[in-house]
Amino acid sequence: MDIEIELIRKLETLALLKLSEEEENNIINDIKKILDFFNTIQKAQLSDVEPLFHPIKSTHLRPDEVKNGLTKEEALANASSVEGGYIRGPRTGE
Amino acid sequence: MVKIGLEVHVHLNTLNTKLFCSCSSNYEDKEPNTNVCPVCLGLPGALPVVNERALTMAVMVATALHMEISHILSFSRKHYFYPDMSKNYQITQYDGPGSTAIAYNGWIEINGKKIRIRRINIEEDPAKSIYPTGSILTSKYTLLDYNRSGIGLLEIVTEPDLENPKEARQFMEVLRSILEHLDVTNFELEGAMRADCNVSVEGGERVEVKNVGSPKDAEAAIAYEIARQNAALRSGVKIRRETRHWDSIRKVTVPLRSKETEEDYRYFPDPDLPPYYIPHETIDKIIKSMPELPESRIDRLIKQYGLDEYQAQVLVYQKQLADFFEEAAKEYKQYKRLANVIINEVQRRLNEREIELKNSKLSTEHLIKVLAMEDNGSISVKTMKDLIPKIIDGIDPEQYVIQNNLLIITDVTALENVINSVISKNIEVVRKAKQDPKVVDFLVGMVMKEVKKRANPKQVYELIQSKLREIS
Ligand SMILES: [Zn+2]
Repeated sequence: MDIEIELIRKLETLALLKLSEEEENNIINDIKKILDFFNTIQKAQLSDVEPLFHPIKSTHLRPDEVKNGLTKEEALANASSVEGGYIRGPRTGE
Repeated sequence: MVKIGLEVHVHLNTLNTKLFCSCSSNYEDKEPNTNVCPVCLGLPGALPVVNERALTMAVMVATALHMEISHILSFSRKHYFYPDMSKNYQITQYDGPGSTAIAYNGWIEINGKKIRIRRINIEEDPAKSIYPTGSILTSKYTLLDYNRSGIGLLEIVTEPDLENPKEARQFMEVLRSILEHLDVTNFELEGAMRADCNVSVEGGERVEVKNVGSPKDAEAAIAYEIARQNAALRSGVKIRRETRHWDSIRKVTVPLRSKETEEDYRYFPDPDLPPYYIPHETIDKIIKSMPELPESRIDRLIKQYGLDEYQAQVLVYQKQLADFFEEAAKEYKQYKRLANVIINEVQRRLNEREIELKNSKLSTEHLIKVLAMEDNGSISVKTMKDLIPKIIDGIDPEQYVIQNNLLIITDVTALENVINSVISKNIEVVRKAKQDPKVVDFLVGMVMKEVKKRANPKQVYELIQSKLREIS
């Protein structure tokens, strides 16, 4: 698969990131390397193997019982900007 | 031909906890960001664990909608970047490799027609966004409250089988009734039910209308959208595929900015949530424990109380009315009459006031008193109807009737006095009445007006007739 600059730009848009030209070139090379690994894996003969999506067979469920979570101070501790108890995020309107 | 499909989101707000963490699902009236934990804040390393009652509820809803239930419970990540979703993906279900929705291929019957349901997804709600200026367009930033983040939702998706706005409304009403009977959703809580409506008219592409908050709004939004699309086509404008937003205040749809297409969400099975194999016995046990559903309740109301199908449907599709009816029917045995008064008079007055039965002061005791007074001839039909808004406000009808002189005058002497006074003032009319029986009705009307309709018109007619015979 060819990794073109258009694909990187599209991913930037989707991820709301703006990369410099240098970063874009680095990423193109990184993604090429990653895909090469997968191409090697793709060569394995797996026609009689069931696809595996998770190493754990089956998980467990949780009873519907309330437990205390974080305090307000703990919850807001990692937010870079806070206003009146709310976390401040970027604008979303155009 | 119009094609309408719905994606209905309902809150599993009768759960005690959120979908993947043990925070309370009751987020109303709480200080922002005080009902959170590492899981629903999306902190790195926090591990989600599925609420077992969420599965129970999904299985019940799927059964009620006649669906095939998956034997694996699996979750996928849907990626998008928005401030209300701090981990940059929503945990939902997806029909793809290694993942499946909880249920497929169901239906709801509306007026004898089957509306097919494609699938149900279990998913989490994002955080609540507050716009400081009140508008998404003019706000320079977004304020976020994660109290709601992680609340369990069901996304119920229909095939495009609905053909007009009224059918869409009825579909949502029936669905709402099913969810109420299963006690899955409390519809008194804000945002309990939201729908995205897909509408396409002949010759145009599919338009999605988001943010529709009630069955009534669905009817209005779809009607607006059909009219808008047809008007555009008539003037030669093409209908492109787009997403619009329902403005419930102005009652119009407005365009939204284009969002990612399906493949851009980059779905994949969530590595944090291994699949859960649902044992057959678990599904059997859930199905056996299910409460009475609207379909069987309608049948029961017809058999047990002799209601007709229309009455039973109207009551059951608004569960509060059916509950109220059955409560009153313990004491008041003229069931059809009781149903009629609830459906016609009570419902109309509640609608006028825009309040729900549950939030009014209406008691079965007061309604029965009103009906009994009309039954034994103490009040007129008109007074009975006039009393309904009073008892909705919690006023005792018996006291009200006495205080406001609303009891019917059956005393002959009292009525004769009124008749004599009317006759003496209308000698000319009386003369005509002797030749023309139609004019007698006019005199009856005068008397009824004089007693403010608090008399039996038949009795008044007979009294006037005998009076006329006396005069001649
Ligand atoms: Zn939590």
